[in-house]
Amino acid sequence: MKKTQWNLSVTLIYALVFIFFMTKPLFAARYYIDITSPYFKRIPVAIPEFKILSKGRTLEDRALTEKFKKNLPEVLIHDLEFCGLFRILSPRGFLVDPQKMGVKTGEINFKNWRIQGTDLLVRGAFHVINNTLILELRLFDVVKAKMMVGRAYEAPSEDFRSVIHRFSQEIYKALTGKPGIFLTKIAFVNKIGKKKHLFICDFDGENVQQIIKKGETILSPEWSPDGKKLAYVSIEDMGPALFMADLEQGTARRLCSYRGLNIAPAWNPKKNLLAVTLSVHGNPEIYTIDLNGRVQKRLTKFWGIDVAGSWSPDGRYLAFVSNSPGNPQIYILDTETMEKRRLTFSGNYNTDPSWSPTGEWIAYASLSRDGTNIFRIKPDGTDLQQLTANSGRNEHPSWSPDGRMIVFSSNRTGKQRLWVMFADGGQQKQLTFLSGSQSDPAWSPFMD
Amino acid sequence: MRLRKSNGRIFALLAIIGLIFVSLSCSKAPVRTTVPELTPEERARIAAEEEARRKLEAERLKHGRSVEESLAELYANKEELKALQEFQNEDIHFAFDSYVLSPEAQKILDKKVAWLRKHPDIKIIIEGHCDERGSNEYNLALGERRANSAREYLINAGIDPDRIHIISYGEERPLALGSDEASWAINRRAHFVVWKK
Repeated sequence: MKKTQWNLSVTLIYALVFIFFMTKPLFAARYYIDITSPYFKRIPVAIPEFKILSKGRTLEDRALTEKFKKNLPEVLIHDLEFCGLFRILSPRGFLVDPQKMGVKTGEINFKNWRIQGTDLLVRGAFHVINNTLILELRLFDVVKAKMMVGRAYEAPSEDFRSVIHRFSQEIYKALTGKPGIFLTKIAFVNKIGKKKHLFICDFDGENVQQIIKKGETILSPEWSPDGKKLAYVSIEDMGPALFMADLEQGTARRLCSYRGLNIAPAWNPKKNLLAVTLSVHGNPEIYTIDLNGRVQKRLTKFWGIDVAGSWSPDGRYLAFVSNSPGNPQIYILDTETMEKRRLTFSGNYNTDPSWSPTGEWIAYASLSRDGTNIFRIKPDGTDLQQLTANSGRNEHPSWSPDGRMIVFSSNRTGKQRLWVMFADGGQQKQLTFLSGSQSDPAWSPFMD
Repeated sequence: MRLRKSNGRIFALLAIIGLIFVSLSCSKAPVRTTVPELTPEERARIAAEEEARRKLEAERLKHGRSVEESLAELYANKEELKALQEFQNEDIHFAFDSYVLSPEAQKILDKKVAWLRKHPDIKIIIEGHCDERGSNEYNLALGERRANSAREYLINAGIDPDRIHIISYGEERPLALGSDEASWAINRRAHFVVWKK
């Protein structure tokens, strides 16, 4: 990956010129939306067309201005719809000409907006100077006639999506008190021809970049807890080996290639170690290794297959797959007492466990005659729920860092693509539209 | 004609030497090259095994030939070449999510044992493969178990463990590209390759 692109966040930080207002809720302890409540109502938001401050001096700037007039609100609307908290009002019902309407608190007729049925208003104004996008964005509480968030951005025009994502992040934080997923990334594998390559995209499936150019078959990307590294498997001449990519440096190094298998990395969220599956003792077993690939501890001992899976958020318990009942099932290992217990009893082929960052759920894939579907279950084995149905092969669930969404791969359209859904299986939508076959998604931790 | 005969005699001799090695080595457990977290007893046992293996290999170097030489000989002889191709082309197959050797698979493996006995210098790689269903990671482990089942069978039949390397490709290298039972059955396989090193 190009360093310049990865350092986008850095350029944006210096580009953040001034802050109108500190982001804070109007009531110190109470936020507008309690996302932990399952029945919150979507908040209506009005996003009128952004005001063009000047049309641009050069032909290029003028063309960009025209493009942004359409694209900037589009990205913002997509972001706000994506997170599921907002209902975006149709601009057809708006009573004012957005190019004549003001942008600051005193210039806005809030009564007018209240009549149109909105609680929130996002007002944008921008221009392009020498290929640089200069954008002001404000979030207003229409009911209280107050500005909640105001930001100004200055960024290279090609980074316009990131600028909008930053403001979406601000909106989300102001309304929920929690970080949003708008700056997160998704690592995945794309099979092109016979080769499988490692890619990263933004949370919304855009900004797709190939990470590692080497290797024929890359599998199982896994984020480090700080979001700066990716562990992955590459199948080499002598078998599968584990690697680690440093996303800031744009480099990759071998983590370990013991005799036999070196697969299924699961990064411990609290300690600098990974659970991996090795067969160095002749049988696929789970071990922990440090960041130099040295074995720290052996976690399983069983004549059959044990494959590493996913850690609990506190880094103590490991969900893993074992075929000790005669077929693959999910188990939970307490790595302090070394006690293990079986988690799944329904279905004959349960794999790909993924522990939600809230600790509340374990999602997994279950293969049956109806295809492969994603389920979730509480770590104590209760509350089993099927999240996908009647839709081919649905695999590799991975949670968003806020635990509200799951990314997974599905071939329901006839082609294997990445999809996202809410944690209860609601609102499944396609995320990638690339050529090739996309699989093995891994949602990054929070980033800023 | 003369050359052929003497060749045959050399072969027979080598086969016998090979058998002696095999019988020597089959009492040994497979040697692990890189073993993490060991008790002192395990360490001592592995050191002893490594020493035994070193001796064995030194002996083989004295009497045996290089793999390249052996392979060149096989390629030069039409019938040997055919046997080699059969060895490499005939896969053994498995049921879904299974690494149990079927009677058919065992029959094929018996042929492989005979061929390996005849060519004691040759080392092989057993590749384990799976069909596309199920988890990629689990299938890598399953593929290794399939290759391992075949390896264990060969070792039990007296083939030197050091001659057999295994690799799992999981579901990543399918032979048949369809998404149907016929294709899946073809892809659930262990494949045998002569190691050209």
